[in-house]
Amino acid sequence: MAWLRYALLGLLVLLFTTSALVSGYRHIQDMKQLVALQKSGVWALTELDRELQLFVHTAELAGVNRRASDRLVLRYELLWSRLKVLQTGEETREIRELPNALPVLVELEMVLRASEAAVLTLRPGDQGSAKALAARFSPLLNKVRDLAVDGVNSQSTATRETRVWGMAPVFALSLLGTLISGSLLTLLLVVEGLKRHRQSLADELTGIPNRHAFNRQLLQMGARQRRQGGSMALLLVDLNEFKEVNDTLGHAQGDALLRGVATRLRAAVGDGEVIARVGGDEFAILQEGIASFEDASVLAQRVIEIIARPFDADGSEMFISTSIGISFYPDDDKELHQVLNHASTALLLAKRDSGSSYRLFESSMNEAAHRRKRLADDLRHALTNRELVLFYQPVVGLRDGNVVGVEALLRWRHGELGHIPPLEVVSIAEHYGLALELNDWVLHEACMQNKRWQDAGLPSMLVWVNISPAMYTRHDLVASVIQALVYAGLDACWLGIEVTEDTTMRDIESSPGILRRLQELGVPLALDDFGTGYSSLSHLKRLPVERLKIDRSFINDLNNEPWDMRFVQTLLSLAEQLGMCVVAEGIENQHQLRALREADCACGQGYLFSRPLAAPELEALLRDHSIRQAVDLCASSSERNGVEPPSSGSEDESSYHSQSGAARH
Amino acid sequence: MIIARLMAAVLAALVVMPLAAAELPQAEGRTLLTVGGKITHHNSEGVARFDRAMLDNLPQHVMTTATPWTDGEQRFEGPLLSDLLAAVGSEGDELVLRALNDYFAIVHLPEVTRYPLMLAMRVNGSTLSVRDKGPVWLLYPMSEFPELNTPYHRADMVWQLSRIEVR
Repeated sequence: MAWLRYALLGLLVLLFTTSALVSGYRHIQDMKQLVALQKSGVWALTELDRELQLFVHTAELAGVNRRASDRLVLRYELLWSRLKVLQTGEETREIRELPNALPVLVELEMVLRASEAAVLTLRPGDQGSAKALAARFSPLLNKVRDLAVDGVNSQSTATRETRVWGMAPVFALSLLGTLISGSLLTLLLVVEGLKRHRQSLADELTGIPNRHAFNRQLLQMGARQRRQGGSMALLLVDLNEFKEVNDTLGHAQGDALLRGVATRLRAAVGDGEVIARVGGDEFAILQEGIASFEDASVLAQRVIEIIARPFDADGSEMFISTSIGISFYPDDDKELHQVLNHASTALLLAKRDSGSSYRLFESSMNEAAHRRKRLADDLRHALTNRELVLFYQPVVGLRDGNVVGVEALLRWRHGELGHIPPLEVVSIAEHYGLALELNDWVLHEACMQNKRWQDAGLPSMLVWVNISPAMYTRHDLVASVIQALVYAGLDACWLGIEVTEDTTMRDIESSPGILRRLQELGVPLALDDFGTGYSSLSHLKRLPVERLKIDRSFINDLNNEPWDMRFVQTLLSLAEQLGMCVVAEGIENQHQLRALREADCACGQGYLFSRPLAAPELEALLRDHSIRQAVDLCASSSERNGVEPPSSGSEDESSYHSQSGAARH
Repeated sequence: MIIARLMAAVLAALVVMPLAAAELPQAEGRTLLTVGGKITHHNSEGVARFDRAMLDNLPQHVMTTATPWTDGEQRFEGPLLSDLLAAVGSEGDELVLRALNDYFAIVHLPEVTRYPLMLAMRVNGSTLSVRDKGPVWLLYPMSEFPELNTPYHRADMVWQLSRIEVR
């Protein structure tokens, strides 16, 4: 189809060019013809007229001695030749046939013959002879002039006209070619332009309006609602797991699915409703003049229902669920452009539901976003105003009950919003570019606190710090660590960095060597939440970590009867093989402690020993050695062989448990 | 036929070559034809002047043709325009032909090389006088090449030719 159009276009251009060239060429030829016509019979007559005048003039000049005699002879000869041109040949036949021509020409010839001697013998300055000579020719001047006028007026004009009109058909034909091909080209241009315009508003794949057209519709419809005081609904329709379709069935199937959805949507909407494809797998519906919000809900349900019907995918059936976000104008927002944002927000929430669902926008949906913005603003001040504090949870040697380290955990009590979960603090810091300040603060605070404890004469122990992912990818973590150590005057061996499996993955993929350089500094590294991430064993082998922290979920399983020790034991033997020390997280009762001691787990932390405490409180605890009581109790009960372990945690404990996962910075 | 003519023209040019290469002789008689403009050989202040003897010394040709200004076919004699141009070392591609009465026409070189255009000096054995459109008349072989018999070419057949300007 396309080649046909191009062929037609090429043909037209060829026709246009050719006929234009032909027209141009014909024009030149015709002009020459016209000029040549002028130069033929009548031309010869006017030339005779001119030559006669020149001769008479020259004779007069010779008489006053202002022209040499040979000039006069030349003019005489030229006049003769002019006469002869009119007497002989085809070209001047029409002149000779003029009624008055012959007498004039004969008279001129006779005067010329009679004057030959006079011309040849005239001496310059002989005014008398010159005047006599001129007088012989003078009567002929008017006669020749009249003849020339006759020639122009009469017969020759008719001849010329027929000749000129003879050119007309050819000229008109070539002009017609130019005209027709030119008009066709113009028509083609207009048609093409209209098509382009339609295409610019239509989605290429599905043929329904595209985002550009949708925006225009939104503006027009919005203006109409303002004038008429009505309401309209904007529905954003998103296909769930569309990416899966593309990935598993191929893009051709994905495209076919989008076309199918567009077809069904077109069938589903009625008057006053506009559909468009506004993104990859995102469609929009504008519903005008709604009587109640219920109308939009009904439409949303209908859309969900028609898309839920199976699609044909190469013979097999494919089921697609949809999420729909709905916003109303002007009810949700007086600003038209916000309506789209609100629908997007509602859509995001609808997508969190499983399967097909729709959500109407509520202003509370924006509250989460507002909270984050506010926390981001306040976090800057919190960093400088000491609203942030570190709490410390002891890490205990399970064999002897000695405290071998503490894990530093971030706490932020916001003036109005209260306790802010550490994960939210970290997420906001990363999102608003405060990660470096926050991590620097944590490193400094932890190092200085450890140094203070050392200076206060407490037994040396490690302080473990959690670092947020941006420090690995965007900032210089090693430099921050060195700075904090130097500032606090702490030995590198007393600061430990806890890394999670996904940060180590990033390290290996994007900035290899950070962990290696920390290790070279002498900073111990621990792999946090081990067993919950997606690290492979080969990955683990390459990491320079010296201890593994077993996730609390494994420890929690130890509450079950019979004790399910298989995972823990496997992890422990794996760590032993790799020469790593193991810390069990979330130890909450004697039952778990005993199991771990029996499995030879080296260290542990959890509510059983101490919850995270502010520095002064922890210091008091360290001084009175009460932490080791749990281990002592366990050791003595083991000796007594067979005291039932206490039942799992109190209410306090479980509440700690539920938040401690998030309390980890 | 055209090819044969061309060959003849080329051969003639070759024959003339030694003469042309030498300095043009001075015109001793009355100058009939003056050639100026882009030429390499002169005999007078940047132009080449030809008297009757010099024109007669160029290779002579015979052409029998009808013209719109004569009755029936006539026998013309004279050198070819192309030979004259070779003799003066013409380097242009356009000729302005001017007559004694100041009429002029412009002829393009391809025409000169394609057709044997004659500088006719004699008709039926007698010398062309001014009153017979002489002494030099540029003639197109109209009888031999009927396509030349157009009003356009007729205007180029300058009689009483006195000067050629090579451009």
